[in-house]
Parts: sequence; C-alpha cells; structure tokens
Amino acid sequence: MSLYRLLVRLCFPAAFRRRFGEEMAETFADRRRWARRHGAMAVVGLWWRTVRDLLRQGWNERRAVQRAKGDPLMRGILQDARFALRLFIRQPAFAIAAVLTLALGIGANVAIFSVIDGVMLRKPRLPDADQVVSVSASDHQPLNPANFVDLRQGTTDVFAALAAYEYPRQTTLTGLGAARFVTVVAATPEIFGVMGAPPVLGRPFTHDDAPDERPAVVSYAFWHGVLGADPHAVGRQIVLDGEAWTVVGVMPDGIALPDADVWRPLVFTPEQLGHRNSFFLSAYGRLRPGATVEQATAALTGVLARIVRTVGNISGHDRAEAVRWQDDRARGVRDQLLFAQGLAVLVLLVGCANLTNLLLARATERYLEFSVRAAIGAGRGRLARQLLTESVVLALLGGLAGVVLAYWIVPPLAAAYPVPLPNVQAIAVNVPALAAALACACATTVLVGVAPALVASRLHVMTTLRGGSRPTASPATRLLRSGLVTAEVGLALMLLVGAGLLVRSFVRLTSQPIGFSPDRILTAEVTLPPASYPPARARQFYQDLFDRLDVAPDVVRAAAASSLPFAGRDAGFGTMSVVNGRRVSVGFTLRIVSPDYFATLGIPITDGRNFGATDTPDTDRVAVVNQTFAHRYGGTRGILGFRVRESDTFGWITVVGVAADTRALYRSRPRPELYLPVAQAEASGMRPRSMILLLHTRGNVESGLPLLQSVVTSLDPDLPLAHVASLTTLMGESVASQRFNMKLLAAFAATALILAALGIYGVTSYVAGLRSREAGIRLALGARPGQVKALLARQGLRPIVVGSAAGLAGAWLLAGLLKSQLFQITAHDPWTLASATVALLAVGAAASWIPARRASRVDPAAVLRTE
Amino acid sequence: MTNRAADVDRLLPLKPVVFQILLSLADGERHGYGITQDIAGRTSARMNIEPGNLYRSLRTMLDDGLIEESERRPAPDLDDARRRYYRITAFGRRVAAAETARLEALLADAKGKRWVRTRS
Repeated sequence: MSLYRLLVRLCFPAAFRRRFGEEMAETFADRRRWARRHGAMAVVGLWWRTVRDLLRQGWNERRAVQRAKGDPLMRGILQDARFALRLFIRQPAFAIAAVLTLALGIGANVAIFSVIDGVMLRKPRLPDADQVVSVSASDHQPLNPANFVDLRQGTTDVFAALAAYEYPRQTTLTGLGAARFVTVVAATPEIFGVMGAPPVLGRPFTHDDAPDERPAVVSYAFWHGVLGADPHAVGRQIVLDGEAWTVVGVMPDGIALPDADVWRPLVFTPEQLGHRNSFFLSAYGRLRPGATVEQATAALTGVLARIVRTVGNISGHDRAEAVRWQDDRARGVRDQLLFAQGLAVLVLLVGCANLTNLLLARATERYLEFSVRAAIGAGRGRLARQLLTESVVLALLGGLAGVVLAYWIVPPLAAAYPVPLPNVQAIAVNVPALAAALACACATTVLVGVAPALVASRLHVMTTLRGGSRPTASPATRLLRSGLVTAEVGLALMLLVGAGLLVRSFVRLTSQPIGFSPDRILTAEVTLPPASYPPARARQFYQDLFDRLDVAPDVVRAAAASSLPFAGRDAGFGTMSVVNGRRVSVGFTLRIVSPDYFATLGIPITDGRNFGATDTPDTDRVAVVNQTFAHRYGGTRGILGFRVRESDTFGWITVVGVAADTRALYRSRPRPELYLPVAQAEASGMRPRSMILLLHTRGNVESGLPLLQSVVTSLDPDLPLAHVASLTTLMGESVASQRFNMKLLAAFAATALILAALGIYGVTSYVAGLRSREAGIRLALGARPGQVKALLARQGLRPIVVGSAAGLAGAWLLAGLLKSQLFQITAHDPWTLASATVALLAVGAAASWIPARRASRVDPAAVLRTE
Repeated sequence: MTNRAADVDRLLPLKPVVFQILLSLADGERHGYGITQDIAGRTSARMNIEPGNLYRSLRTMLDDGLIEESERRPAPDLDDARRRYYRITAFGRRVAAAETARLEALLADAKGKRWVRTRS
C-alpha cells in the first residue's frame, strides 16, 4: 500500500493529493483485493495499469493545474526560462557567443552522426540484407571462372545463392536520345537470388535463356529515367555498345546489386573454364537461413583447398572469404567517419569547457543579484535551479542552431566526402540525428550547467551584501576556472598537433617524384563498341583522331592509353611467363599506349627505342617495359630482346625499349609495367574496351575540351566522351581523402584554438578585473606598469603552460591513431610538436597580454578615490 | 456554478468517462470504488477505470458542478470513514440529458446511413 501512496505522491500535485489521495488509496486497495482473488497475473496486470494510469493522469493534472493557476514547480521552471531568455536578450553578445559555440560543436556532431547513421547504421533495402555476403579470394582478390563454378557447386549447403559478376562497366547506350553511358554489369543468374526480391515487371534471366537472345534486366532508375517508366518495357530493345538487348525484367526501386543500370547474363566460355590462371570475377552470396559468415568462409576455403591440391596454387591464394555485405560496403568509410566523429566530440568538449567558463564568470559577476535574491528569501536550491535552467535554455538554443547548421552541412559533406559513400541518398538529418542533437544538448547542459549552479549555491550572502563591492571568487572556483582553461588548451593543442602532422604528411606525399609531368594535360575516356568497330576500323579511328589533333594549333601532342597513373582504376595485370631460356612468372601493370604516350607525359626512354609507325599488326610484336620491370626480370644481361608471352593463346612479344618509372599513386612505389603499342594490341589478344585520350595543350587545359569534342564527334557522332578531367585534377582526387581529413582536422583545430584563446582571454580579464584595485595600489606605490602587466599576465599564462604540457602528453599518446594516415613522417614528429606548441603559446600569451595591459593602465588616483 | 444553457453547451460533448460516471450516479449516491464497479458491470468490463483517471474526472466534474459530495455516510460500521460519497446535481442531470439528446441525434444520422443493424 505504501508503494501506491509513494507513486501518487510522486505523480500528483499536493492539492490534488490532499483532496483525493486517501480515497485513491482506498479504491486501489479494493481493486487489489479483487485482483488477488484472481491470481498473480491479475495482480501484475493491475500494477501495470496502475503505474501507467498514475503517470499519465498525474502529468495531465499537473498541466491542468499549471494552466489554471500555476503549479509551483512548472511555473518556476517556465519563469526561470523566461527570465533567462530576457537576460540573453539584454546581453546578446554573451548569448550569441554561447549559442554559436554550442551550435558549432553540436552541429558538427549531428552532421557527422547523420552521415554515419546513413552509411553504417541504416539497413540497406535488400530484403534480409544481413544474409548477403561478398565473396572473394583472400584480401579481396578476384576469382577465376573455373574456381567460381567449383565454389558454387561445393557450397550449396551454406549458400542459398552464389553469383559471380564482372566489374560493372560504362557502356554506350544509343537509340534513346543522345548517346550516353550507362552502367552495365554481367552477372550469373543467381544474382537475383542474392538480391532476394523479384522484378516488379517481367522476370529475371535464368540459365535457360539462350545467350544469343541477349536478355537484360534493368534497374528501377533506368526504367524510370531512360524508358520513361513504360509499363510495356518488357520486350523493348536497348542498344548497348551497338548490340541490341531485350529487356526481360525491371528490378524494384532501390534493389540493385551490384549497383548498375543494366544486368546482363555472364556466360563463361569453355576456354575460360579450361584454365585457372585469369582472375577477374567478384561474387555475392546469400546465406541460407541459419548459416553464419564463418561457416561460409570455411566452406569456401575448403573447396579452394581442394582445387589447390589438384591443380596447384596458381593465384597465390589458398583462402576464400565471405564478408557481410553491409560491413564490406562500410569498410572503406568507417575509419574515416569515426575519425571525424572523434574530432567533432573533441571540439564540442572544448566548446563546453569554454561555455562553462563563461557561465562561471557570469555567476560570479551576478553575486550581488543572487545575494539580494537570497536575502529576500530565495533558497539555495532555487538559485541553483535558475542557473541550471539558463544552461538548459542555452543548450537547447545551441542544439536547435546546431541542427539548422547540420541541415546545411550534411548534403555538401556527403557530396564532398572523399570516399564514395554507399547509400548516399539515405543520408540526411533525421530522427536519430535529432535524438543525437538532443543527447548532445543534454550532455552539454550537465557539463556546463552544474559547476555554476554549485558555485551559486555556496553563496555567502552577508559578506557580499555588507561588502557591497565585487566579491572574490572562492579558491575552488578559481581552480576550477583555470582547470577548464588548462583542459581547453590541452585539447586545442592535441588538435593542432594532429592538423600539423596531417599537413606535413600531405606536403611530403604530394611532393613525391612521380616520374611524369602532368601539367596542361586533358584526359577523356572514349569507348569504341566492338560491334561497330572491328579491329581495322578501330585502328583507323585512332589514326584519324591523332592526325587531326596533331595539326590543331592549340595542341602540343596527343596520345592514348588504356590506363593512366592516378586515373583511379588500375590497368589489367597479368601473370605472364617470360621465356628467355627459362620460364618465369611475372606480375605487372599492363598499359596499351599510342607511340606518343611517352613524349606527351614527358617520360624518357632510357634504353632501346620507343614504338613507331613501323610497329603494325603485320610486323613482329613489341613491348616497352619500365625500369623496375627491367631491373627485376632482366638482371645483369639487360631486358632488351626479352621475349614474353601470355599463356598459350597469344604469340611472342619482344621487349625493344625501357621507359623511366612512373608512380601509379603518390603513395605507391613504382611497379613493373609493360607497355604494348595500340596498333598491335588486337593482334596480341588484348584489345582494351576503352582508351583514355591525352591532350597536351598549349594554353589552359579547359581549351582542349571543345577541340577534342568536335574532333571525336566529326569522326563518330555516337561516341560520348567520359570522365573528362585534367591530369592534375585526377592527381588531386587520388589524395582527396588525405586532403579532406587534413582540412577537417585543420578546421577543427582552428575552432579549438579560437575557443581556447577566448577562454584564456576571459579568465585573464576576469582576474585582471578582480585585481585592478591591487594594480592601482601597486602603481600608486611606485611599481612600473610593465611589472604590473607581467604580474597579471603570469596569472593567465600558468594554465596555458600546464595545458600545453598536458596537451603534448595527450598528443604523444594519441598520435598512434593518426599513424595509418601519415606518410613518411612519424606520429611524434618533433618539428610538428614544437611548432604547434609555439603557436599555441603565442596565441595564449597574446590573449592574456591584452587584458593585463588594460588593467595596468588604470589610473591609480581613481582607484584610491573609490577606496 | 450557474446553470445557464450556455454552460451546458460548453461541456458538450462529454468525455465517455464523465458520461459513464453521471450514469452511475443517476440512481443514487456512490463512492469511488462503487462507481468503477458499476461502470465495469454495465459495460461488461469493457471500461475499467483506474483510480487516477477516476479521481481526476471526479475533480473536474466537481469543479464544473456536475456532481457534489454527499454528507451522508451510510452504516459507519460497514464503511470506512475516509470514503466519500458523490451524487449528481440538477445541473449534472441537465448536462447528461443534453448529452443523451446529442448522442440520439448522432445515432439517428447513423441509422439514416444504414450503419446500424435494427432488429425487426
């Protein structure tokens, strides 16, 4: 019974309790007697209904009372809030500074949380997405067709479906408006089983579909955007790279695995299935209900081990692994995002420390106000509540502004993100993000509100009133305030050190010698559909293209290559056998280039000769290798004259020249590379699907595009140019991730530095204000202004020095977190640590010097008069 | 506590709980638990009123003048002295009648739409 009374006491206002409390308890007792007669479940049910009833009705009653005449607690809180708002309006500078500080911190946190929520926490739209795994040889290496077929047959007990696909390709779509690129993926029919949802229109293709009928399934977006949401789309023909495909199905909205516009059947040729030394397949699987990722990995590895036992280990991989698809797609961004979130939390902490300091200073300034209020009857709790309410109002305003800020930040943040974000359309400020903002605001309130409230509750009323002058803060308060500044300084220094490390690392990275000159080079990709471009016509196309470009006045030189350094996707690599008396397995990057490639990029030929007009399909096949290739495989005898050939299908290729090394990325060391002339590529069995055109322009790079466009169009109006960019832009994109992190950290460090400077300034001017009387007296007694200045500034400097030491220690300890992002620089780089500390000390000294100087300029006579 | 027609209209439509309590008190005075028992009985336990809800309703009804406390305490030996009895006021009866008329009009409309199954 007492429990019920206690609940009533908690829930209902006193007036109501006095009037009905006894009766309610009595009625409850009657109901409980009744419930006990009906067993334990009835009693439990009674309590459940009762608690719900009391909470709901108690709240309603309080609100009703508050509306009618005002419940003391509710009225008090609202009164406090109104009072706080009035106060903020009267002192807008303080309020704006405080709200902005919080808005920055909370906004950054909410924005980054929204991205994390969209990328990592939100469920993708595939049905039962946690059963979908991506399958690869160890370390994300591709699979071989014959191996895949064995894997598919050998793992049916764990996989409901296992599908292989080739990397999605940009393919030219013609016949429906202007020619354009669409993403086409060749996949085995099991891919629809993996996606787990039937098409909204038509059917998926199956193993029974004859490949020469060319069935295709299109995405919802393609159906909407290209086919105009035609309800009779099934049966329509679409022309891809000059081949007609028949649409047999349309997938539901948002269901696309891998992400593509069109899926077409992937059929392995008997030749592909005959040998196991080419690796180009990726795979997705859907686990059977109850099967785990570990079981899948074990089953796959078991099959692969069997293959290795029978045919030997060709790929160098004896393990296969299944990775949960959701983890896989978030893998690349997870560390990035958590890094950014960590930084945002640090900034919020610095902001909170700053705000606490501001509020403490205000609480001390308002001693007189509080003393008067206490003298006329306000309790300590009442005063503490007033301050706490002010903090809550500030935090809520800050949270609100932060959400507004986040709304602005999120779309550009998601768009500017260096790593392509999976699920990017799902990223927005949403309910979980708002909850996060609220959580931030609450945490902030606790962080910033409690200390001032405690200070206010320890008020010595009589001292203040009797003294009539400004009180001095208690030693504890002063310690707290300098402690806060110390913390701010420490955090700011840690961020500064981090930013400094990233900047230095970035400079080192981008000043790596790359082995070619990227200036004024325009790149664009062109794809010659094999159906309309048989080998001879393709050769003619490039011939005509270069003939026309070479005579253009704005062009220094033009070339073409199947792949480029820094162009993002790496060239096909092969394991070839070099035979020159002995058989060797070699791995290398393969680039198919036009003869002018080396001259266009300024890559010197160091030995032998370049390709020339004499290298045609009818002459001996030749290759140029880079220096790394020559050193690794040529040994002391030199590489010239080496004969190379891939598997048994293709003929011999002779190395005729050596070109200087280039780097594929800033970070990567030069790897062995082998160049083939584009004129002989077809004969070597390696016709590239698309080529990157390179245009070395005389003027600025942009002037090359209209020229290139018009020349290509004049040769074939159905050829679109893709991925147009300058080479320097491509190089910039290759380090976009590093640059993004650097900018983010630098922005956060700058914010923290400004906040710390404000904090130092606040504390010093506060101390200086308190001691201005003392300064006046000292001056009157003959102290020089410089001495007084130094005395006061020292007060402000102490927390800076202590904070710097703490920050250095923290930076030293946490530097390991940055290690993976650093290039050729240790996380404990002394130069960075020293310069960050100096910068912080300088800012800190300036921030404490200004108020000290102001205090030292007091007129001694004026001070003495007021005494 | 005036009894003008405007006051009657101001209170309409009645909350179901309020109307049920008025119905319970139509035949005589009851205490709180008695009211809930009566309502549960009449509605075949479809409407179970928890004490919080009941006394908040009684509070508003007292404030609105629909009911009043009775001074009578029947048979002290049978009953706890803390129990209070409530009875309907004349104003309460008028409001209940007005609510009944309102519901009747509503029901007539519904019957016009043939939503009500009439036994004939």
